[in-house]
Amino acid sequence: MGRRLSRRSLLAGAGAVCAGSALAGAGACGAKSGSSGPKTIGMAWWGSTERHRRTQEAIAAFGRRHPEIKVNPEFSGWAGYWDKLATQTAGGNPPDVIQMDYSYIVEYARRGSLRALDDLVPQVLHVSDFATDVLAGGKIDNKLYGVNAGLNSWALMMNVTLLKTAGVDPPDASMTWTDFAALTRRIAQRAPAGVFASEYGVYDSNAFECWLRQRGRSWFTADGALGFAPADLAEWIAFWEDLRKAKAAATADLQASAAGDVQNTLLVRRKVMFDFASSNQLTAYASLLKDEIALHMYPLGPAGSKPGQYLKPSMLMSVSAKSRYPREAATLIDALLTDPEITSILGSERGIPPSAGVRSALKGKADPVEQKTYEYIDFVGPRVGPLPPPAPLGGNEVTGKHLTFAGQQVGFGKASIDQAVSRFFEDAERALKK
Amino acid sequence: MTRRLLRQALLAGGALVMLYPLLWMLAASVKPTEEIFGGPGLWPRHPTLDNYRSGWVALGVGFTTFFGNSLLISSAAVIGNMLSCSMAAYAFARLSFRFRRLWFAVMLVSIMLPIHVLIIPQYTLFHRLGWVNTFLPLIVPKFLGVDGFFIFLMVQFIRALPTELDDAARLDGCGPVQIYLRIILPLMAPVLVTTAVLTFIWSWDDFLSQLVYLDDVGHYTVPLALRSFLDSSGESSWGQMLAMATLSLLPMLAFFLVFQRRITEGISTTGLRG
Amino acid sequence: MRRRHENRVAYLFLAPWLAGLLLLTAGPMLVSLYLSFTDFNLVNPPRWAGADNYRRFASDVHFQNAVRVTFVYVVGSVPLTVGFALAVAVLLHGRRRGLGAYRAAYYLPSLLGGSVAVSILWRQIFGDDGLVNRGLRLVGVVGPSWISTPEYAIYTLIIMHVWQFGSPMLIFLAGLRQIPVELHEAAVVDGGGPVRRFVGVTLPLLTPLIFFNLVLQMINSFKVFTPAFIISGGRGGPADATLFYTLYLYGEGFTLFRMGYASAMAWTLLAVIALFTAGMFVTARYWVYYADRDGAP
Repeated sequence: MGRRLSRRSLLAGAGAVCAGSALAGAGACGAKSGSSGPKTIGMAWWGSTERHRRTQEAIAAFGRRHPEIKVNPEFSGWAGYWDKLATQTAGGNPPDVIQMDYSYIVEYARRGSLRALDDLVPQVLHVSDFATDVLAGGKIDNKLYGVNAGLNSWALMMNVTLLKTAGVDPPDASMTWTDFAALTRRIAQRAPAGVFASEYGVYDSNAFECWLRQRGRSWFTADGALGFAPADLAEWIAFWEDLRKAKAAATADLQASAAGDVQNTLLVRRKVMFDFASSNQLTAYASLLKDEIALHMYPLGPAGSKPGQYLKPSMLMSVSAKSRYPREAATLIDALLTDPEITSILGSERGIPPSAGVRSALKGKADPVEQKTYEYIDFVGPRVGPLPPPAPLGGNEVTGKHLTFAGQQVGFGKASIDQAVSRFFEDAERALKK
Repeated sequence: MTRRLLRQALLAGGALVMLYPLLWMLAASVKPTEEIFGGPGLWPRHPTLDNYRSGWVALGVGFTTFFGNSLLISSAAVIGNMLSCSMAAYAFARLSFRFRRLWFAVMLVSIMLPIHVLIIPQYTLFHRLGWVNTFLPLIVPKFLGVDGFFIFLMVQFIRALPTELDDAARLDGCGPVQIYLRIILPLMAPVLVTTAVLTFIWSWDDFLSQLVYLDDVGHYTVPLALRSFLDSSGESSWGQMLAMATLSLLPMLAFFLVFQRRITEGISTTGLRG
Repeated sequence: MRRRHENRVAYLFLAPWLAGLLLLTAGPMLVSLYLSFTDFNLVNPPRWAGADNYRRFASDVHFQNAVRVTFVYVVGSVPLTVGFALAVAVLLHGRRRGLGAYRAAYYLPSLLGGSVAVSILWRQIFGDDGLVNRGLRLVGVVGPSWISTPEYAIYTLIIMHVWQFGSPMLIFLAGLRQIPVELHEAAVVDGGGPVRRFVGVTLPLLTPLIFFNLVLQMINSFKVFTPAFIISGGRGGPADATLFYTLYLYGEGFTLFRMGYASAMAWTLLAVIALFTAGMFVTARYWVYYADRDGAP
């Protein structure tokens, strides 16, 4: 009797120890301190086979250049990347160099899991030929938490082939929202059955942001509140409802089936001729569709409006706050973004290179589809506005979940515009309060 | 006669419905990527084996490594589950001991929690043990009976076996261990094989654990490698991925085909062995 | 004396499972229970928050949607899946040639699981101009996009779940083999037709496995997660129509960094599942026949 109890209490004790250490969470992993030998850093990125191949080659070239730094690559597809990063971060084992996305960097930076890099500029990070706005893309609360790794801006994807079959010329660069509405209505009369002129963009948070900025509003203010009024949202939803009812924009259920990935979008499935997307997605779209696709700016505001678009980082490179070798991590980032040999290996695959020097070196070597993206970025460069302030904590939820819910409620006829707008504002307030 | 024909027709029709996705995958894997989603037709216009050739080595490390890793992990998982779960199930089903009901309830409760709230504490635990980036977090738990599903399954199976054989063996002087080895285990063959098949397939597909615990591409399993082909924020290598995914079905299908016969060829319960 | 001995032997047999429980499972479970009473954003240490997370359920509309969606899913998928699994297992039971190929064919959907092929396929069948709608058009009916219309989306996922009945079918096949041939022969001699034989001999002996499949299908349906990615990219759309409970929990924990709230959701789910499971065990007394302990559960 006594013997059995003691065995069980021993096991229970072990369990408690494990529970305790699991609770303690972030702690130093068994680090070998002061070892002479290469310093090992981990680098995590997401992508597909092309990026994996090029990045590994780039890392090998880096290794030849810096034999004192050993890089352990950790790569995956998009699916699961963020789950793994969250788990590693919570478990105290994040990689040193992290490929970051613009929509996630705020969440990680503001919670203290990324290291500010200002002290490493310009000795380690040679970013002098990054335009100020380009570098500002990675600044949160005025500190540099991520280095812009690719230039990107919103782009309307146009299926030129389908436009021609509808007997319509592609619009010129001066198209406003009003022009866009008229154009799509005209197309609605000539489009083949089941094909719409535009996707139902009511809950596309980028399109909404563009529209807001042209009116002098914004998604969020610098102090973390919503930057627009209910009347703005109502007007936006009404605009799209008109188009949907005129069959110029896709139906709500068709739009709902275009969840997420490029291969599901209505443009790739040849159901629409205009899709609100981003310039760095052109390669993906073009690889899935034989039709000719062109890039166009988002519709402009009425004469005298502010610019709606801005240059956004397609992705950023960050250093973990827990990295034991931040200088080495930053050296790797610097090489990936500015070194002539290594950037040439990486190509334009992550987006248009942010460094002016690299851009001019690589533009000539880009393939025809990438050339279109280069030209587009050159075109919008002088036509963009300043970057908005980084989104507040909880911002993702508002621009994603709550906007989508509002748009779908109206699109499916489950709520009136006013109801959807007031529900949105309630949800948003609650999300931003944290 | 017509009833049998009707039954055959129904079964065959059903089977075709079940097989359609495999046909689609096969057809898509021999198409170039831009034809996979655009066109309505099932069959490729110019079939090509390019996706298979390039997909195999697309990640640098070849799929030989990935298949090897997956096979290793899944086989070890099978052995672990068969051992630990059958032992626990025997105790629950045939032995009486203090707190049996309590432990049984705890066992059931342990499979009711979604993995997403467990993965972080578990990861922290394995990180402290230094097991991250090894196969250990994927294999060792199987030897420690974490799959309550199979314990419960085996319990139900054993309880459906009549006790006369046990009693007869006990009269012959066999202890509980002997009964387990000589009577129960052989009679459990169908459920052991079922456990083997399901464990193999489910551990093969256990994406989240593989994702979180394996960092080095040299340690990657097939599902991890497959997902590395897809980047929804950019361009994905659909053709290659579908080709490799089709190949990936083969080991699991083979395992199933080989072992399903064992499931349906059991042993009669009459007669006492040994 | 024998009881003492059996106690020791029993714990010997239980040792691997017990070790696993105490070393690998109990710790994380207790940690997650603790986290459910905290504010934990994955990066900073958890802050005690009392029952705040649990109190939020009442005002969280999406939580309530998730509960509703999951219940519909459980009620819809469990009986149908177990029913089909049993029916097909009975049809495919036996040693006739070619049955192995059929069994593999019917198991195949389960092998494909939540793969990309299935998601594309489901769109091709239930989508806007998918097979179903094309068939309906032949009889003059214009159908909506089933997978992306709020009213119907969940049912396409229920169908998907039922379509993947391979694992319970496999379990039934194993169970059917267990039934001694002699009993069947005796029933034939007694003059029973095939249906009589099935209901009188096979079914009662299968009840332990029917019970098992019902309980486990129920547990797994409550915890369902991957199908949501198949048609809505993991966002639970359209308009929360496929917002499974675990999907919502995952979003809160991993995407919005509210792991405390996610843990509270998880433990609430556990309580509900445990309640239903206990209920099933209580009913088992009346219809499940075990060959040992005189049929008592």
